[in-house]
Amino acid sequence: MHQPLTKVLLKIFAGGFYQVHAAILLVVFFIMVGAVPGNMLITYHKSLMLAMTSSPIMLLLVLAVWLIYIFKSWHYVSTQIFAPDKQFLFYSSTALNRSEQRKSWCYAQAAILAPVIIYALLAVGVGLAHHFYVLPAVIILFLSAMIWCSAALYMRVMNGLVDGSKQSFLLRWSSKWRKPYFSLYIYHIFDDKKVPYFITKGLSWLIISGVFYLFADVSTDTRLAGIAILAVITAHVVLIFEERRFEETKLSFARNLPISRFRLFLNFAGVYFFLLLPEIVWLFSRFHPLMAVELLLAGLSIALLFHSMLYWFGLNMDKYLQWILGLFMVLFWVIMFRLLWALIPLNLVIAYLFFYNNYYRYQGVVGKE
Amino acid sequence: MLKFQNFKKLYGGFPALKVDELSIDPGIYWIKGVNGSGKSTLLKSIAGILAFEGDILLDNSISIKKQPVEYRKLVNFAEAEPIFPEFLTGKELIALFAQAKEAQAGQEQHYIDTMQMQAYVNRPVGTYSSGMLKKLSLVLAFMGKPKLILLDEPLITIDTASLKILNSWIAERYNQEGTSFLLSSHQALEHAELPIARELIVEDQTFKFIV
Repeated sequence: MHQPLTKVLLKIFAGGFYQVHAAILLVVFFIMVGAVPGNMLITYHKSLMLAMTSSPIMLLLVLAVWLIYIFKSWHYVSTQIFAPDKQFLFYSSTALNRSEQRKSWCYAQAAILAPVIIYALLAVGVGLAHHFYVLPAVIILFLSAMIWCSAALYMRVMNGLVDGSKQSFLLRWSSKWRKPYFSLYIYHIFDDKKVPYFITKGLSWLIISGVFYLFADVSTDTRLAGIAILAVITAHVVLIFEERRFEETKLSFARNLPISRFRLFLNFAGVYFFLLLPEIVWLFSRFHPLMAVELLLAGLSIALLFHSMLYWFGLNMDKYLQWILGLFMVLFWVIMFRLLWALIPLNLVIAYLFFYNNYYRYQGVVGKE
Repeated sequence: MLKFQNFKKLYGGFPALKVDELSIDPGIYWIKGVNGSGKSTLLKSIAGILAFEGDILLDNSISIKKQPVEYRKLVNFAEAEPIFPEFLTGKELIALFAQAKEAQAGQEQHYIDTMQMQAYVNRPVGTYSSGMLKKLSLVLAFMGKPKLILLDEPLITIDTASLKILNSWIAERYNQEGTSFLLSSHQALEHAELPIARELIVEDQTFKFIV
């Protein structure tokens, strides 16, 4: 534990991981604590832990959830390793012998998995107290193996030589295609933002099945579909924000290109059409074509509204989320009053005005108050 | 060629640059100024990348505010430290600019050949060194038929041999097509190779001719 490398890795990767994921971890914590009434909290978790240590199916489900967390940590650490301010690790940590490196990485990974480990140990305790021995042993083995594998993975990345020529599959595959301006946003998503894209699509799927499961009795109501589409687009806020960030950081030269604002706006509609393709397939397979078109246009108009607002106040995530929340509530009630069709032109006009008036008003990466 | 009308650029409420009235005739100009004087801010404003108050007119008729597309077709820009999406190749970026700026087919070949970029122009720009990236941004600035080309710190990061080639490009475009240039630099330019007309300076929050 007193290894200098351990300290550095803990500070950089474990500390960094919690800093970046503090919000989402807090949400999960509140869901786990707040989902049940206070007086039943302990019995609830105790029975959950008992189920984990007695039922293999239940344990499998829990391990699957933990695996998602572990994948997330792999993704975080392996991208952070290549950040410019961590480059020094390539010519310092690699000089230590491998067992010392492994030990330090194991500590770092264990620290990242601390919430899982603490919950797992409690579950093992509960299981043992009820004389279950096999599944608690499986839990301990699983987590130890995962920590060891993670350390091995990070060491492989760290000790392998950097191959600067790697390119994602899509880009190698598309190297012969022309790349018009608006397609750059799509390539960016599939080059650099695959994880947020697939998380968003997963969320989208959960929303759609959740809404129609909960309201199965009124599942043919346009309002329900409208609200599902609103929620789906809201799930895309991270991608929409990333598109704007990409435009601001990597495409700032584009303001010098002679492309009219109307065409740019249409281009963005094209970008979101493309990103929403999986949802569009669902819309047309489930609803009457006319209704599917209405829902699609409503979805696109909401996405463009969310996108265009960012030109107004810049890349300020806090402010953005507040606005999205407010707009969500307003749009929700508009849809409840059966005015989905009216939303389409309204959203588009407001979005275009925001876009038209602010596109050339460059405010820098973070908008000033 | 270029005319400023009540140009004012504010940064956080403070005036960073102010040019009430200034006309610049066609030619090649060297814009001087110490670090932080606002040379890049000025060039980015003329390029249409930074917002400002007032107006800039090209040839007394094309306003950056009122004819944004026509203006941008005629004014090209190369940044001091260019940034592009890493996944694009040099060729793809050139194709994008060539289309947007309505360049003649094959216009880029002369520039790629003389700057000897054939070996890497098909590679993603993420693999480029800063000098290679700079050369690519210079090629992009010469695409199409601009009346004015703005080069922000063209001397930095490129080697002396490439500098001579760049000077020959500038002289060529100026002599053949009458293209004007605004070059910002805190170093002296090669007067022997460039038909330099006049010098301008950015200081005391304004932009003026050196008298």
